[in-house]
Amino acid sequence: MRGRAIKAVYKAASSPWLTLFLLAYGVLLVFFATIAQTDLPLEKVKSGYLCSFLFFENITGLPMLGGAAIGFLACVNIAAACYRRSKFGLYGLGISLTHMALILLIVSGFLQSFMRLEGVMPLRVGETSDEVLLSDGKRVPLHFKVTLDDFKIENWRGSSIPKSYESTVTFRKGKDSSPVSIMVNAPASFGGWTFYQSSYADRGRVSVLACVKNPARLLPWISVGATFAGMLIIFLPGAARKRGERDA
Amino acid sequence: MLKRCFFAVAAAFALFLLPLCIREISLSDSLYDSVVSDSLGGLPVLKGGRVMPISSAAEDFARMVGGRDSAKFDGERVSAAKLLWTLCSRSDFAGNQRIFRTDNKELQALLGAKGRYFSFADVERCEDSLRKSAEGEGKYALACREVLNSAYLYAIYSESLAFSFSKSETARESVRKWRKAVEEAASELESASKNSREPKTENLIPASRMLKTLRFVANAEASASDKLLRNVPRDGSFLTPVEAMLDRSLPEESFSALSKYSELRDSLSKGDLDAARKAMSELYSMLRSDKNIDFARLKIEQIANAVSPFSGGLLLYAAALFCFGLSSGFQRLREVAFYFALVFLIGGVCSQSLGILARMYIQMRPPVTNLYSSIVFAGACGALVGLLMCLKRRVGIYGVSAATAGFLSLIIAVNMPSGEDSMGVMRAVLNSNFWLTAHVVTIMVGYCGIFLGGTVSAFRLLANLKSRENFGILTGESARGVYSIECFAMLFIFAGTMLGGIWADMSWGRFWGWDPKENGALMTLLWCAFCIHGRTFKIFSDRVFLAFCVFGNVVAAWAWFGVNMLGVGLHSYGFFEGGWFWFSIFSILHVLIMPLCLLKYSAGDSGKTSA
Repeated sequence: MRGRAIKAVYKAASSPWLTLFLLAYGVLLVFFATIAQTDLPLEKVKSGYLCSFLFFENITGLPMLGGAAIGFLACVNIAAACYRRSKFGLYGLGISLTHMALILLIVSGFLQSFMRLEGVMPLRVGETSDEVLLSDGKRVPLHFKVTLDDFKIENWRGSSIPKSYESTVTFRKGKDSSPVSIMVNAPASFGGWTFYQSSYADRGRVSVLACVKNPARLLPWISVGATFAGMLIIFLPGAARKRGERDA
Repeated sequence: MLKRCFFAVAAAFALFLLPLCIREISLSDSLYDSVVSDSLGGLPVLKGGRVMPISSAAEDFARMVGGRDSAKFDGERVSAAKLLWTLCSRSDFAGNQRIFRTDNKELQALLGAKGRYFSFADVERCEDSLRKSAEGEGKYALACREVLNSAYLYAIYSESLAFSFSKSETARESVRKWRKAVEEAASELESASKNSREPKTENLIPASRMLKTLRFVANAEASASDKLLRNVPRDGSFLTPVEAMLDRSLPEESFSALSKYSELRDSLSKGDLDAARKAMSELYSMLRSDKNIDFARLKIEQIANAVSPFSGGLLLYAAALFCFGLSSGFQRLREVAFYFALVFLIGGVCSQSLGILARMYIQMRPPVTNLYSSIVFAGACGALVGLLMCLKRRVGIYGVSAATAGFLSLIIAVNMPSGEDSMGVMRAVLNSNFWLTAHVVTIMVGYCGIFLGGTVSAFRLLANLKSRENFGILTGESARGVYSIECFAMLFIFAGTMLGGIWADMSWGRFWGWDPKENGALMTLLWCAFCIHGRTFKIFSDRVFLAFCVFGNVVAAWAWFGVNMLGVGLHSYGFFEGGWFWFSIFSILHVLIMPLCLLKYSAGDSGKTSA
């Protein structure tokens, strides 16, 4: 009896119908989460639609499964379906690699939602700070100091369109100091935090640095790399095989 | 066979050159528009951070005020370059020409427009009323604001290439008078300082008066800084004539260029075209000695403006579609029309690619830098992939889809709301050729795959309406082809989206932020996976698979355009207004095609998937 129930659960969990339902529902959920951003702040949409198990949709008022529930079910479905349909050979390896890496990607998103800290550090030239201002107004002390030595904005010639921003900062911890340059698309890391050139204020007299502490930062990079490698293994030999069949 | 090949290629080439021929016959005035020799349209100006030929800047201006890249003077069509030079040299004449356009009927009545067109003098006459109405809300107020903005730009552009203090004075006299007054004032101040006396005010007054006027104009120009035409070269950059006159340490070669522009304007103003040609030739030799100006690139842009490869491509795609129609509608013409259609399609792809390559060379950027270029690029990719599949499988539906993709992309691009430079400089966060190539180009290739798959599916479902002969076999063949395209698309969309995540992690500090543009890409990816899994698991029949792929077009269009119309998120550089109407029509048409998958097979054909 128990064995039959487990079998039924396993069959349901690995069902292709569940896969299709989750994919189609995912499209619908992301669509609603996008539309909701025109009325609600992004943080509310994230907590309401995407990080919850159940929520009430903003426009229709209907209860819907949230992103957390879909992510959980997707992990179960992928794991069960891969186990049920696992195959040997290159194709099977590609399928397994792609789907296992997708589970890692979902898990890394889950980990980041509570491991990641993000805030800003506005600095005037010559000013020093040792704390990061979080979006909820809290201040997180750093175990080092950051001094803004210089801030440059370069516009495209003859226009007010910005070409690049550059903050020259010095990180100081005890007697050690390291001057670095932070530009758009070129962040700098120190003491577990990464500093990004975010924006500026007061007509370029204040540089605003975005500060992020994220121990799981590399997980999505690894998982998407593995997923893509898996997809290449699935598709490329398949294309080669088809070509071979046609030539024959 | 050789004769047919020669004739088809010649016809394609003629279609490619048709826009240039029409332009040469209807618009061309060698002084303004010649691309073979030096012309006024080829002189360099700096606008919005980019050096471009005057013809490009003038076309942006003409499109902004009149919605077209040319205008009419007393019923005769003139090029944008001639419009701009006439505006600068004969402002009284240009002020009475109906070059402005509004589609608002109420505003047309107020301005006394002839059809949709009215003149700058009409705007001046109704200025008070327009300003009052522009403060309100609604479509009328918006139209008033647009007219006022266009008129403001018109007023600034009328002094953009040379400046004179009053209408009774020539530009050259103004430059001389200003220099003399500045020199006199400087010498008076120096003498007063040497002799420890108060400077004589009568020696300072002329310079002071002129300075006041110049500062007033400079302030007005500063409010439209990114739209100004800067034509006086100075140390690798450019200044407006007013900025040049206010520059205390203006180098002698810059002053010479300023004087030559003034001479040119005065000659055109008097109608002395020989003197204008002479001044232009001297100006060109002066500018060519400046190593900071890349005349080769300017020439390529001027030629691209004149040849208009996208218009040629549009004609070739239309001709290809016409021939595909003939091929399927008339049994006797089947082979010949198909052959011609293929040649036209190849011509269309080549023409569109040529335009893209020219833009890449002019910008020194990857092919996709903004919404406009993304449409043109995706259309070219779709047309190329469809063409290759058509050549390989010899199935007309791929050719029709390829021609449709190319044709639609160019129609949308040509009719996109503009007035802005479509090759504008990149803002700081986008100023990276590596990431533009890695993320934007990759994802656009993916989107073009989705659209090609959706278009092939739509045509197959529509073709099934016409003929039930080999219904299941043809549907199965199309489904197999579309499945390959969808797999290709999913690979590229995944790679593009994830590279975008890595770029976002590098510049904003987060891999994924649920921004509307990111959400759009995720939706497309999920929908693509939905279609592929449905077919792989043999849950969808061929027809149902094709129907879902048709809906993929709606999802991809939402990701590409729809989210930009919401006006929220970090991808603000892609925002645009309007377009909901066309997006709704596009979506409804696709949704209406989907139920065609319910058509029953005739006896003998199986309904099962043939994957």
